[in-house]
Amino acid sequence: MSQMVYKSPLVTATFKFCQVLADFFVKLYQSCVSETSSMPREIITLQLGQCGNQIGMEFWKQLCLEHGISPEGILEEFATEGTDRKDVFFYQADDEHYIPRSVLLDLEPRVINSIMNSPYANLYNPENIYLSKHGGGAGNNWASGYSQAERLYDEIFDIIDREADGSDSLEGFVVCHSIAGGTGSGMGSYLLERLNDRFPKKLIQTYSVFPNVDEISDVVVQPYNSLLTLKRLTQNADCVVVLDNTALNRIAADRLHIDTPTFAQVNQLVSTVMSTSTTTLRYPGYMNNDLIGLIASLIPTPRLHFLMTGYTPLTTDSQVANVRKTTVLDVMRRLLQPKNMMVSTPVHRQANHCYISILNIIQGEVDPTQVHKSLQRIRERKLAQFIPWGPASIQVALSRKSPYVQTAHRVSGLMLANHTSISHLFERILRQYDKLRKREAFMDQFKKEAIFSDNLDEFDNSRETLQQLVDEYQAATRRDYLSWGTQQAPAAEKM
Amino acid sequence: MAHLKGKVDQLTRQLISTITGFEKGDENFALCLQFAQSNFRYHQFLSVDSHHTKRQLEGLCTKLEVHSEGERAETLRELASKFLQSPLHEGEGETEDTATDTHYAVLSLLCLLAQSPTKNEYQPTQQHLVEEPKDDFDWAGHLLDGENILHFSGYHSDTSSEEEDFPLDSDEDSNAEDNKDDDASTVEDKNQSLSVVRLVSENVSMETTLEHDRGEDWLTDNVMVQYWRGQGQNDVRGPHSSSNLLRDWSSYQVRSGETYAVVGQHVITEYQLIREILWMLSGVSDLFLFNKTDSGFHLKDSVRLSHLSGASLESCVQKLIDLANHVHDLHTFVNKVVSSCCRPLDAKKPTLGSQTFQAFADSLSRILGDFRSDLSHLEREVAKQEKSDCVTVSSLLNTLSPWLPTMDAVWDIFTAGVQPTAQPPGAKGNISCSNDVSRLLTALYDGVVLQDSLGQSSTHLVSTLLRLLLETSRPYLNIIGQWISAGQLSDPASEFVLQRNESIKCLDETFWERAFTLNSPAAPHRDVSNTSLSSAGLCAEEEGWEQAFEDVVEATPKFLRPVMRDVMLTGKSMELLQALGRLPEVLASVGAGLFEDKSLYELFVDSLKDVLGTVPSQTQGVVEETTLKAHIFVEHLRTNNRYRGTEDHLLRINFEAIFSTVFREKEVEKDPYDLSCLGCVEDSYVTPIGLLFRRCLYPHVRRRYQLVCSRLLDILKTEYKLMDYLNSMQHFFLMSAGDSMFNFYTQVFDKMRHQETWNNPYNLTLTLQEAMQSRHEHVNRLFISMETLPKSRERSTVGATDSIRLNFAVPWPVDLVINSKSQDLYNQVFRFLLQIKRAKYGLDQLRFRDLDKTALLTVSPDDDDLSAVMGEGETMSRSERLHRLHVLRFRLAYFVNSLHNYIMTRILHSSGLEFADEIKEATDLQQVIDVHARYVHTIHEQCLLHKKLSFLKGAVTQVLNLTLTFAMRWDQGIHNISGKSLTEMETEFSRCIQFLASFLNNIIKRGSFPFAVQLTFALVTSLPSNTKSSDRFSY
Repeated sequence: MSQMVYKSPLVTATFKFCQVLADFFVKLYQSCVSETSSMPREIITLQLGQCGNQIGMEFWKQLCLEHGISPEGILEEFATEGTDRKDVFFYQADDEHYIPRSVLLDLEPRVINSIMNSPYANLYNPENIYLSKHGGGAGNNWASGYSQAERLYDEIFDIIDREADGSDSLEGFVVCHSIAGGTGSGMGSYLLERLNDRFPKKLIQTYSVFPNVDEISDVVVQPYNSLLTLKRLTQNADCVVVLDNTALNRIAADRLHIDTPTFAQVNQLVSTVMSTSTTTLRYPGYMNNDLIGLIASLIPTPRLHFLMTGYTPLTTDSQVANVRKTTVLDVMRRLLQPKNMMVSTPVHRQANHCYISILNIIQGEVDPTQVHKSLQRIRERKLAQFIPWGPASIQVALSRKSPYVQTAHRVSGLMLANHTSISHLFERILRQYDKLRKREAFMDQFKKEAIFSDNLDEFDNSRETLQQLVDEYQAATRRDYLSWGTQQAPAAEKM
Repeated sequence: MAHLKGKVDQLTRQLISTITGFEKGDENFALCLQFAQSNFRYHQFLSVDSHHTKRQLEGLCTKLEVHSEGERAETLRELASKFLQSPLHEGEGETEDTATDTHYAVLSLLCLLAQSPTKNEYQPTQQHLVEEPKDDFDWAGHLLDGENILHFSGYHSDTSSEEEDFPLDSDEDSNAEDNKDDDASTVEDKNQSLSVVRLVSENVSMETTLEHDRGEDWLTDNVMVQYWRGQGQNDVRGPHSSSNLLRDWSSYQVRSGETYAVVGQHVITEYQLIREILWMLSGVSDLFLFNKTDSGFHLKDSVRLSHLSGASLESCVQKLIDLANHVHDLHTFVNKVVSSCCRPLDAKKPTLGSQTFQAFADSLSRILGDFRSDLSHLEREVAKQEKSDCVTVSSLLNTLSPWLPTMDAVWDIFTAGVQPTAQPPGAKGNISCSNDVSRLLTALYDGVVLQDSLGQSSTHLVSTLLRLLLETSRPYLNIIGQWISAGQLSDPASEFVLQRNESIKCLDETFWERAFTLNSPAAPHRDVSNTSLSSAGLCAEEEGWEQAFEDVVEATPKFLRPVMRDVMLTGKSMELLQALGRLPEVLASVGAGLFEDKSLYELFVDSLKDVLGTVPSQTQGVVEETTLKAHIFVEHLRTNNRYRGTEDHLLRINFEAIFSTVFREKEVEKDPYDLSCLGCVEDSYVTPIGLLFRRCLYPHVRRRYQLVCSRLLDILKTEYKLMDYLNSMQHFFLMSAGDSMFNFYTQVFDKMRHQETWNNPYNLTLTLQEAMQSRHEHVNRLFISMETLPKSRERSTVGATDSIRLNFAVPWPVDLVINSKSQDLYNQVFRFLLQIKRAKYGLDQLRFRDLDKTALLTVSPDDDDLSAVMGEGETMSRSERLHRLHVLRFRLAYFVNSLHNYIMTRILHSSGLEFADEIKEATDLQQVIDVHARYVHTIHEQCLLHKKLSFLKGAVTQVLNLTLTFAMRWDQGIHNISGKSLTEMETEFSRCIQFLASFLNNIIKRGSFPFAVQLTFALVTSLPSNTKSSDRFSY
């Protein structure tokens, strides 16, 4: 009896301990259940229209090369040990082959068919390829593309939703399109609006190809299409990487010495830019592991999110490197030269324009101290003119190179820059639009579609938005930008 | 000579009857006669050694010359030669036999008679015998001149114990008494030449004064004056002017100075003085002429020599007195050490018992022994009075001059090395033995180097001292050798500078740092201060270690200082290897043939010999000597005992056995590595001592160090994956595994943003491990614990994540490098990084839409309503607020990005690369630990976490806080942000930025924080047009 009493404290202690233990295990179990395993910040690519699909295809080609993935999506033997992150842009099917997180949309079959006949046909998930049933295309008409997309809403978003659900922590969307055509611009505009509603928290980045102004385009309604698209790009995208066809052709001709650059050659430039700008996501370092982190610091205010790009050194397959010395300073200096910019703006016109912010992505074996020295040099020599109202924001992200792609250069660099002179592009579009609009040229085609059936307010609306954008860029060159919002207060706010 | 025979016969009979008292016809008488006759016939008396006699005469002359009696010496010489020239027998004058044996016999007889006058039964009848030569040579006429003067105060020596003290063996003064009964004649023999002078005077006195005066006077003349009873003869005079110097001088002084008074003086002879000096040197403390006080010997005030003034006497003797003092001190020390090593270890004076001191004492006693033997030799010489170089104090000084510098140097070393420790017993509580030992060794080394640098003249001295140093350092070197070759620190008397701290086990992570502590009272004190340091005072701790090492080096004997570091590291490495269970293997692979059969000391001596080019060749002699010594020793004991009347055979046998083994052992031990060969160092000796050590001792230590340390490092790197763990630390704590850590912290931040509970350590650990699992090793060792924060820090939003503590369970041998201290630092860095990441993430996640959307949802048709809601004070329109929020976000983002960029690039890339380089080059574990600690400190400092930078950190934290607040407000929507609060935020931000920028700029200009240049630059350029912004924000 007494022994029992004697034991009891021990017994209770043991009991308590058991309870604590049990609690612990329950918690452990709960946490196991509640936590979804954390995963990469996936990015879904939407390729719209003829141009978008062409760019996209080049982009995927490049990614496959860099990750050592064969055109069929099979990981090459030599690439099995890689430390890269393929899961940002790819996912693995049941048979282990890599599938791009990509959605291919077009209203006419030509480009997509050519893709399906290429070696990369088996790469894509066939369910993600959507071709309009009647295959008539948008006829270079924004309104047509827009309203067709409206009609196809359910089918398109089935695909997108499926993709989005298939990813664990979706970072955002990348949209490839041109703003001049019908499908890319019209359908793109519609999608941008809808994506914004549907995924309000997700990042939307676009690679938008601007038309070449040097040659007379076969698409006469370019200014209309551009204007209408730009409104959506301004309001619904988080970040627009401007790919100016004019500049791309110029670069191809001047820098690469190709007299008549083909689409493929130009698109390769584009794909280089695209792959490099995502390189820090795919080759993880100790920094810059998310897209938003890269972009957020570039964009001061909601509308000023149109980025120029520059890349150096540029080579093509056929050409041996003509750039001999690639130090960090060298690369960064070259990047600041206008001739390497993939947006062509008149250079010497009232040189008030300035950089708002710059992000340099440097690839290769780089010592950070060199980067620092280069930055200092650039700032001391005032190689770049910065906004007077904010910090001279040059940021540098270092990244590894793909081990599977041999390049002749030790260091290469991509610049993403927010520069006020980009407003020239918009001004030009505005001027051209005004010219067309004055004559009410080609309005009939637009009036056919529902959105313009009643009135042409949408045009005016878009013009106003674009004008405000231009104004804001102009304002950003001035000191008093901080108090810019006050003067024109209410008007700007009524969106 | 036949005609002499009858006379001789008769005289012999007479002699026998006189001496023995036997009657003629006695059997004994016949025997005696036979003996005496045979002696006369065949012994020295028959054939006189002419050369010997000549020498004696020559000595006599010299003696006279010494006593400034040049004329007399000349005369004596003249007379002797004249005598030798003249024919002996007048009758047969025509013979040419000059300088025959007979001549010499006569002379020699004279000499012999002079030697032992007391044994001569004087008979006046024999006068005619003497008178015969007197006719030829005017002996008396010549010698009578100086009769009075020749009565020296007394050279007679037939009594008293002083005489017996002469052959005094250095170790036995007690048996002086017992020797009284020794045969006086032996003493006489020894003093033969000494007595020559006396003989002459004796002779003279015999001839002249005998008739009228045979009793008292003779006695007073011949008995040694008892000068120790104050019976000095003040009126000793000499004809030579210098011998009266003292008297003249004092009388002059009396005349010229009124204050001068002659005090009682003992005027003694120089011979007496020399005798006493020799005794004093040999260690007798009970002397008449010298007082022994605590401070040493002193010449008594009243002692005077007749031919020297008091001051000059003193100055003459002073050097010898000093020498005697030194010898005495050394001797006492040796005795003390010897006696203390027989006793059990004395708690109060552990020093004396230490091996080093014993070795030192041993070596010292050898030197002292040499000195003693020299001294006794000298004493014999002096007693003979044959040579002219030992009869004055200054000549004695000359003779001893080789010993003077040696003893001086040895004594200097002794005082520097031993004396101070011996003085304050128990004053400090526990006197550290190691300090004393190292002080001694240092003093020795200093002494050697000093003497060495004095140049060629002192080479003998140098070799003596070098030998002393070598022998003394033997135990110390043995300890080191044992430690670095076998990994055991066996140091019973704790004389080594380091001590194994038993409280620290080998498996402890602080093993490397704490396992060996300085063997001195200062050590525990420093230890305490070390632990009490807060984790923030990192550099101080680092310095602390450096300081500790400095201390160790300081406490090391000087000649070992350059290698002390190596010794420590090797020793520790050995122990570590032992703990790893790899010691035998390492010993087998590395130590083969190196340390197997020879100790460090032996190696040292070997290479020393090589360098000096000497070959041991004297071992044979040593052996003989030692056995001889043993015999002498035993012999001594026996006589001793006999005199005490306790002769015990068993005891004697016993002693014999003991001593013979002792000596044999000694000789065996001495055999291979005896240093006596270094005696001939002088010849080949050219290199300075420092170089000698560098060449002979250091390489052995260094080689060992290289082998052991590199092996240990190898094992750590390959088998215990040191580098992997270091990389892991970077991956996890410094977030170099950017993407995986990103997954972890963004989840946490998201939860915090949505105000879910996030701080459950289990969940956090799980999240972390899941995030890392796929890509990294050692994830399982990682877990998170939460710390409760002080209230003040909880309030600041940015500090919320500070409660996270990342723990990384580092396995044993690696945790020597990555210890908990550095983990603390890592954690601080980690938390700071987490703060920055959180701010950055917070800003990145802000969407322009969010700011606006809420405004859209709350139905607010126009701004007037809104401002009504917000309050009367609202002055800013909504769009303006929006715009300014946008711009503020942009600027905040720039700041946070710059900071983030700087920190990450700095700590991971630049410092990381340096770290990787350095660790690749590290050759021992200590270096690895140092490099790592320095790296951690560097990044800690570069993250502005150092105390000195706390104000900078404060500003940074403020901005980060602001950022978080800003992000929170942004999420709440535009209409919850008043213009006022917006302005406040802007002002605060500008203020912080300006402060940081200007401050950093100043610092950079001064060049203090070179690493912060980049950040500064970014910040300075981020200041928009300064004036403008401050204008704007001033209202």
